[in-house]
Amino acid sequence: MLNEEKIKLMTKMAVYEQNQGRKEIPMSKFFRSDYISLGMIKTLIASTIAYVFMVALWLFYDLEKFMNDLAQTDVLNLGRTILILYVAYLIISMLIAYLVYRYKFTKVRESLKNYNAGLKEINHIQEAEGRIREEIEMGGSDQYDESFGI
Amino acid sequence: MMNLLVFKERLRQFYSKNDFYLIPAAKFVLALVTLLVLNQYIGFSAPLKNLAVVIIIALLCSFIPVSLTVALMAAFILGHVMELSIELAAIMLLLLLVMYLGYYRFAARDGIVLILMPILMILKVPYLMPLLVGLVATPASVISVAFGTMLYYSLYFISENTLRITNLSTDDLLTKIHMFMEGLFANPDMYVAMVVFACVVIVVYLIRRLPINYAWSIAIVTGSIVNVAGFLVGGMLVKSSSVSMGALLLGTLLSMAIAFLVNFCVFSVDYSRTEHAQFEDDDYYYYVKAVPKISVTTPDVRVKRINARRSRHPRTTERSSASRTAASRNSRQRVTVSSERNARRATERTARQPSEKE
Repeated sequence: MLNEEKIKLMTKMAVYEQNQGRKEIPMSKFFRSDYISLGMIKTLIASTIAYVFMVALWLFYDLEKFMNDLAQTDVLNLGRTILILYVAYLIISMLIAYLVYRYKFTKVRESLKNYNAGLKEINHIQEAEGRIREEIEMGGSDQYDESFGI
Repeated sequence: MMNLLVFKERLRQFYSKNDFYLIPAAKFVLALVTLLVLNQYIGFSAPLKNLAVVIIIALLCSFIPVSLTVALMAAFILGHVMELSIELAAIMLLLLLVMYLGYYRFAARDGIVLILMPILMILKVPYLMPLLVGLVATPASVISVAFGTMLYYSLYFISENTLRITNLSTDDLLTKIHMFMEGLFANPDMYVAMVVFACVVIVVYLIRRLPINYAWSIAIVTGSIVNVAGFLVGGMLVKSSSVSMGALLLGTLLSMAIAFLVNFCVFSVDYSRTEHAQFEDDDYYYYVKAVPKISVTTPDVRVKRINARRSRHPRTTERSSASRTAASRNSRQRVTVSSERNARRATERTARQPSEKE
């Protein structure tokens, strides 16, 4: 027999799994702090690479002038400026990353809660079905007892 | 107004019935237009200009996710630029990577703005994008609009200076790069466009979130006014003449019209997709097609006007044939009245829905 309630629930779960769930379900294995720190570490790497690219672009832009003036340039000072800018950039991007990942996690938590509740419900139905099946295999269920007047 | 609402309801039904084909088709058309426009504008590479290649890429785009499409389009642009000058392609790649690492890592779907912005700019209706972005996205998408503007100006520089770039020999690598970056970053028009677009996005976003009637329409109109005013003030400040008054006004009006159309046909139609799901339990395999329930039905009425007062309305009496018996006429009248009433009720309900949403 087809259990309509179960099919409805399972369909909802399956639709979630193949849409948002694909990205959200793997997030369920993280604690909040772990998820945010992992995201921030990724951002740290990405920001560093982006900064290197930006410095490279700036160098390319003025390479000729830079090479000519190299003798007069205070390299130490230049290095310090680049480093200070890097730290400032890093602080800003980490702050943004913290906010973004925290928001994402809180939002995903909500739908994951619904998803888990649905799974539990399906489990209950499944267990009930299993019990009925066992009883039938053992020789009839309660309803047979009733119809035989036991 | 009623007709419009009924039309919107029909659209909704149409979308939810055919979205399986509509979404890939829309993606295909969008990708095809993008590729063709790019080919016209910076078509340096002969193999990429081949129509068969364009169609294959567009077909591919109709099935892959948006973020991958964006990457493919970026590769397409770089492919063309590479044919002209490898150095410039490398610089553009660096720029795109910085954009990706800095922003699109968080909002990959926003990448579509990055690619469509130059296309709209080439088609002379760039003012459409900030309006649409303000209507559906968050203010963070300002960054995406700004990056799109930058991408356009880099393509603009390349297409305007093709001869100069080709005439420079390969030894002048640094000159080429310097010329390109100066042409891009020292262009005041780019900054004006970025600032004005950012203002438009924020104004549209703020207004459409206000709890007032017709917030979305007011947002579009105000955004357009801010756009025109912004470009006028910006043009005066930097004394550039690249945007002519006529083009600005026409472009803005056209953008406004398209924004209204897109808003009516796409954004304000609240539809849920038909879903196909596959799963199994101990006994069965299920292949389920879940069709969303449509809570408000459009009246499928064809109102036949059979007028009892013949003498006053000669045109309608002409239509009703004289051979009909009185009995059949009476019954038809009853049908007409009830179906008209149903129609009115349904449209009232539909009328209530969007206002709640707004």
